[in-house]
Amino acid sequence: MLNNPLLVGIDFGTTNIKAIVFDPTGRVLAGASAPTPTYYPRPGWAYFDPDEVWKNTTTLLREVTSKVDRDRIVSIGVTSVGESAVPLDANDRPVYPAIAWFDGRTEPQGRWLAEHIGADRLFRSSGLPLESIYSLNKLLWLREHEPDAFARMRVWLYMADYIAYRLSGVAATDYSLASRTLMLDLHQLRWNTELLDDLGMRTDFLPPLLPSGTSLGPVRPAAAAETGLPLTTVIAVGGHDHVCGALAIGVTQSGTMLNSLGTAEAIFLPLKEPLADPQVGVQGYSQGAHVAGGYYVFGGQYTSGACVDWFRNAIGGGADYDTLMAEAAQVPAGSLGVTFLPHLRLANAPYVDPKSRGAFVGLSTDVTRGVLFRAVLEGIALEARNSLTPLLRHVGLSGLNTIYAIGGVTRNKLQMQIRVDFVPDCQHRQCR
Amino acid sequence: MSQTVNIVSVDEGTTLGAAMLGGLAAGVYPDLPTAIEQIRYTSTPIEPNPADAEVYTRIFNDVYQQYYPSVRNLSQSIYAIQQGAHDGQ
Repeated sequence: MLNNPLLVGIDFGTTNIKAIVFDPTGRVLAGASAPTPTYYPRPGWAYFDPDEVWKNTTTLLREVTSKVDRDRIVSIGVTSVGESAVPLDANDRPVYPAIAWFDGRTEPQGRWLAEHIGADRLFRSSGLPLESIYSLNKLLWLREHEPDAFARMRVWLYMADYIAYRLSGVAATDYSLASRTLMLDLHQLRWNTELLDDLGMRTDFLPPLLPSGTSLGPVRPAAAAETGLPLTTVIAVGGHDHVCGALAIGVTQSGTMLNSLGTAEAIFLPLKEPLADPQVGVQGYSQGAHVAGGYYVFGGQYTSGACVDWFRNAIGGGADYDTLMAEAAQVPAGSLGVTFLPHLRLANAPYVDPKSRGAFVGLSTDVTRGVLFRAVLEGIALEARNSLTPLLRHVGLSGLNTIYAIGGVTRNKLQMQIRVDFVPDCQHRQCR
Repeated sequence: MSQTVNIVSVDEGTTLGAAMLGGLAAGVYPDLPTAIEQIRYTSTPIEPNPADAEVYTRIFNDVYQQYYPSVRNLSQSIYAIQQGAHDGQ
């Protein structure tokens, strides 16, 4: 083993793609990010362009490998948003762009699955609520609307797997990304091929399932040349972004909670076994396989940081965050009676409703921009509490031993203060 | 609501988790528990403000828990109108 090895992580997020070089203690030595190439061809539709994803990734890797002693780089692990995948043909060309995880076009497919397969059956096998964003809906949409592309598809790779494939030449996925598809048998950790048989869908495009942290082999020479990586760099099977965040901070044990704060927000509780109560699915909580072994259940919200970004652009006049935070800090708790509902894309557990929309109530002539911004921050925290409260009952916890927070928002004092003030009472809270 | 909460954090946690999986694949760590032990975390205590927490609890109980159920039907109607407008284009 090389002395002082360096580890590269790649994160394909909703807003940015990042490449970061760490030492084995987690110290950041170099980093670069680029906007995620997202296109909105119709209202409610969104896709990621696979070629641009790869081009941006190679640019980022070239940048970070030039900032460190590149010969010390030993490995790359890739994490990404879930649900979105790139369908590739026999020549490794995308047959269609990657439908974004939050794309709304698949709502009819969700309704069709509810009618013909049933939410109960899907919950029993996958541990998931029947929501139209999960990958199976995207596959059904592709088969129905782009049958030629669907027929030419050789392999279907989740965003992290796609990047790992372009780096290594080996196609595979892990249990955590497969947990976001409706197609994984969560209890046996295998593809639910019976389900696809019943849908009359072939299964040969599903990538092999491997544990996170399995080596896919060394970087392809062509990819090494494009990125500046040493030829010995090991490419690993990665995982789903929120789950990788939980691993990094050590949230692998029951009784702990991870609050992962990004564009979306996850409230993440580790489990030994999946929860079998169908109410968990009815209320929209999702479960999956942990990258560290075992399982997790999570709630949270689809638009957390997204609400802050939206406010800044739509109402804040593009003011910088420090200005908006300073204005909000002057406003007393409760935002002069204004309450914000942060459903800018859809509702969040314990509610399942893709038609839900955001709202402000309690407006008056006293309400300024700072008041509205504080109401947005409080609304996100209220929604988090609304999602956590029933979840604790499902898991059978009266309180939490430890709450961990990660994400850029943790650096924001006002936002974290509001969150801490919103944590429901925990009898035995001993946060570390 | 009078206990301190420590916000335990690590820079770039999500990306670090991916990098740790790479380290496992390359043999830098023998297993993930060892990887977790090697990571250096920072811890920031935040004191809850009991007066604010009380205001928030009232808002949560008396307003927020009724919020979505109160506007759900409006969103349904808005959706129907938007669909019609889109289909008519």
